Amino acid sequence: MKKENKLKYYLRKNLYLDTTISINDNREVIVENCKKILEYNDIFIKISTPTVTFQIWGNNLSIKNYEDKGIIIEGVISSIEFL
Amino acid sequence: MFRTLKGVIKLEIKGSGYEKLINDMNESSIPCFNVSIKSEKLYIEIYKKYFSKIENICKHHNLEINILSRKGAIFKILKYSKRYGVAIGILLFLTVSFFLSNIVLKIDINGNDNVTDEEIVDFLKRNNIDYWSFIPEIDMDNTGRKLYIEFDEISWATVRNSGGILIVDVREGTDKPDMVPINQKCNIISDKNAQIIKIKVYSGTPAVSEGDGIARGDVIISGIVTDKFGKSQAVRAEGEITARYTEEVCFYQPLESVSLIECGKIENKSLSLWGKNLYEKNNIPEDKMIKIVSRTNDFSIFSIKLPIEISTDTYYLYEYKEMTDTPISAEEKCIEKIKDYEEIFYSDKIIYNKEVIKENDSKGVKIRVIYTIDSKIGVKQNIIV
Repeated sequence: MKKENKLKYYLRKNLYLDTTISINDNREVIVENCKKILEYNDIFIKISTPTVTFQIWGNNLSIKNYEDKGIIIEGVISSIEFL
Repeated sequence: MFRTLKGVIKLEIKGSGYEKLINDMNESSIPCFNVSIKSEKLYIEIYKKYFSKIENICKHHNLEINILSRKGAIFKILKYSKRYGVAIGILLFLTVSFFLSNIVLKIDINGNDNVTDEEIVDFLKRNNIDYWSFIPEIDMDNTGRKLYIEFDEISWATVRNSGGILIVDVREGTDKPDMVPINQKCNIISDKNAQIIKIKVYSGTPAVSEGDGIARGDVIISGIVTDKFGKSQAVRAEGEITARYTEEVCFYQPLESVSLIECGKIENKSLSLWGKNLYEKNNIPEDKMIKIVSRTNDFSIFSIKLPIEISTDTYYLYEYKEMTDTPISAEEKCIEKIKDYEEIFYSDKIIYNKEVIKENDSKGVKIRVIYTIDSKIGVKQNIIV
């Protein structure tokens, strides 16, 4: 890892700017430091964060809460893919 | 709970590209909850205060917006906000309650036996306390003091209130019975130079008869009784002796005198809320002698004391004044003194005759009064056997 990248990684980690994804069973996904929702419907959500973009597949997907860059997704989650 | 207090609106949005709407909302720091898509319609919950912003965003993205439901206390309040009758009713209820809690609706008198309720109510009326009087205006402490000064039978009195009930607690003084040692043998002797008018002997031997003149210290009823066999024994003399005697009292009023007189009264009122003074008036003259009487009046509603207090400090101003009297006014003052003296000392006695002798000199007026009094006399003198 380059020196700049190391510093960037260190700062992100210590300033809590990393994206955190928590998965509770296949029912709930909590994403912190979310940047944007790129696409959303009841079976698919594509989310962009400062470091990574990922998509969630499932059924009856709903956004329980979206506030201050934190998002709680509920539904029957079948897969999460990192792009 | 918190959301319900703030007021939440559930919206139904029709169109396409819902993610743009959600991203715009997040950029505008509009929180959203329970976002779901059903039958290509977006259902979303937001706080009431962001509704106009969301309307604009929806307009910008060509989305159709419908309100599905409103949840929260704020909507209930808003629903009733235009019902002026309810607000007026509540206000009227509070006003009437406040009014009724601060006026005298009932006067409750406790502890009186010899002084009747009517006499106390009459006294209160004379002191401007009656039904419908405003309670914070009543000087409770002073009224209590005046009450036991006014009635001799009352030894202690307090005036207080409980809501609209004015409670007058009275304690009447009971005369203590004389601690008489019943076996103590004694004579009754005269304490005055007098002439006996009437004598009643309950026990003992009368030493004088009606019409006799007696000197101070003479035995009136002797405690020595002699039976028919000539045997003497000592008893406790008991009886009532009414006699006529004279007393001379001299009253003097100087023509020039220095008196401390009340020359005014200032009332300073202050309003305080939770002990903090909101308004205070202070204009006490510094060059005068003052007597301060302070009182604090509380307001209450439903017998609950409100944190509002009105404090009244009454400053009675006094100053020394040189009084110069004419012989006539000095004589009038002397007559006043005579009246007071008679009221204090002769109220339970009969003044049979009164001889007034005036003696004026350049410094004042002197009145000598020679009273002839009909009164009970006699004191007990123990016999040591």
